[in-house]
Amino acid sequence: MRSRLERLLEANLEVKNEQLSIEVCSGEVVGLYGPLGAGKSSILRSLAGLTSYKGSVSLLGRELRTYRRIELVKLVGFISENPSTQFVANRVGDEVAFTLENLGLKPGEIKLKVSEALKMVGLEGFEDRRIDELSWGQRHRVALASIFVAKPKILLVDDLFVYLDPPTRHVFSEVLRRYASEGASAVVASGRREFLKFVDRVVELRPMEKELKAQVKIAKPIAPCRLEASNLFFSYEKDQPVLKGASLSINPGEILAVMGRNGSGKTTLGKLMAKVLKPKAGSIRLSEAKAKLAYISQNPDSQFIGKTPLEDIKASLKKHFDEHLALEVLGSLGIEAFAREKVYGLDIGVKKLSLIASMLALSPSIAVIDEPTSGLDDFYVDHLSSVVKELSKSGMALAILTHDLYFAKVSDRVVVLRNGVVSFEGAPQEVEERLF
Amino acid sequence: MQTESRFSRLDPLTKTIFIAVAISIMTYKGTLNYALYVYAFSLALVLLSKLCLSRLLKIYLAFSPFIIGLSWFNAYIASITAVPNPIEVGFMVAARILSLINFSVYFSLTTDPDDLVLSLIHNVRIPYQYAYALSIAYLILVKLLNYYVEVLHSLKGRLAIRWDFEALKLIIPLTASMLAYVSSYVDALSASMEARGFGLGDRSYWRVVKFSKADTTASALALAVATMVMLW
Repeated sequence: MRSRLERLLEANLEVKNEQLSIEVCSGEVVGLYGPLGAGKSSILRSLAGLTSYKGSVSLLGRELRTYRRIELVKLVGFISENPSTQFVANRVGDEVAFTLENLGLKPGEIKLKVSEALKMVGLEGFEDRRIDELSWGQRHRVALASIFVAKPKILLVDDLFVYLDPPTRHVFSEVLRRYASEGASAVVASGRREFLKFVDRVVELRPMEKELKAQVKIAKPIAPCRLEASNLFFSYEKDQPVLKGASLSINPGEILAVMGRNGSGKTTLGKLMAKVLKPKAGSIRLSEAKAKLAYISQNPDSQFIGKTPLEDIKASLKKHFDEHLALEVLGSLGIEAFAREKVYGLDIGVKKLSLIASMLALSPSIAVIDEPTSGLDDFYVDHLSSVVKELSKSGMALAILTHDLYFAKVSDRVVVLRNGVVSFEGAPQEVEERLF
Repeated sequence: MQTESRFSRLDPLTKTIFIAVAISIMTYKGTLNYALYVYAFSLALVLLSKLCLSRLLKIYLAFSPFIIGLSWFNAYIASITAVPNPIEVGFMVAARILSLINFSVYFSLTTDPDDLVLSLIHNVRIPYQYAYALSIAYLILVKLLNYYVEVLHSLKGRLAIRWDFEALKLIIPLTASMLAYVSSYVDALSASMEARGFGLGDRSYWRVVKFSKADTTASALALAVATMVMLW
């Protein structure tokens, strides 16, 4: 069947001393699957002509290097893993029009194309809306429209799906399929096999590593503690409440998944539970008044205080630091080899595990972990699942804030946050159909 | 937070002229009276733009150590250098700082960054690369402020600090984290802009921000008042 389709792209690249061949035909959505650090982003950037490469890339039968930039902009669209970092403008219309303005199209033509692109992603009439007033899902759609608008023949989508909640992911996959069916094509990179279910075929970069055995070492015994949050209210801006009476509880040794769509208030609730923020109304009661609470951010870079994972633990423990014990803790999480590496140069998976190690050193009774799987591949997701299970066996209560249905299955109980309140509470198996 | 009123809708260039004129008067006429006139003008701009007064008061409160400290310091210097009316000097400095705060609030909370870019390109004739550079610098500043709050929350979350001011003792990791953030943000943004054809040559604009009659009148009035005051 593929032979009847137009071959748009053919690449033979050398990536991290390994050969990769990839061929993309019109009408196809191709998945690029590989572990963290395998070079998925570099490959996509090379195919977009943004970075140099070793090997050959043929686009519509012509070597990519011979194209002028302006030609490539019309043929290849690129979406980075976090679209909120690619916004140049403040208004939806200005953002979507950006590429066409760069190509020098006439204003009337731009207006028409902007309107068409917004319609395609379900944001018809949003031209004058401000991007920061939109929901997370809508912002991602704006990013997609800003690439669609130039009607590129090939769309390159970096590891974006891992940041999307299931409904938005579904919308994105539908839109990509529809776009490809009109004679274009898309290459979608991901480290998660389940996010590539909708593609026509998958090109595997290199196999995932085998799962590590986690035997978590805790520095000090955990003091069991129950947390009960009642009727929590919180808002960052006046008249824009994020939480409107959310209530939940968590028991010692329990894994509670707090789920909800992007922007539903999971992070805010997690920060309130860890007492990082104070509620405007409502209460948080602990069965042990002096219990330690920890919060692990979804962005590990915001939380390091040491230059290396080992120094980070040292900074947590100060005079109680014991290097042998710290190395044991890192080893129990499978990252001892990185103990003396600079934290900012590590994979996001290792960074997250390193922060868990720093948290373990404090032996908190309750740990809140925000979006633990964002940016991770299948290997780290599975490893993190076993780490979380091990932690709960030690008596630590864990609140996992996530929109990842696969990872939520590790939990004992799930609560779903919707419109600022807990709208559902039940077993992880029941959550899928009730979630969104 | 954008608000809608005749004063908030003025072109960014007109707002810049207002601010430049007021600062020139305040500097040229170095007396308490003129500092108070300029303060009254800046406050009027804030109020006529329908900006939230309680928000302005919160900003005053946040800057209060700086406002009081600098005013007191100037009054003290004036007293030991035998300048007549050192207390007046202190009040003048306070009025100037408050005016600058009012102008900053007026400009930043009523100006859409996209309009600023287009005004710089169409009204000031700045090359678009520089206009966008300015707008992106502003964007990064806002993102950096939000990220700073995120870092403080994260540090509290890992029990490294209890209060915001304790972050001072972690200034090195905090700075490293901010730099890492800016670096990855700039990398992603520049890749996206390049992939979307920024800087390839002549650009078109799907909407144009032009000086309106209200802008011309307001700017001319501001410049006339400034000239009269200077010549007085």
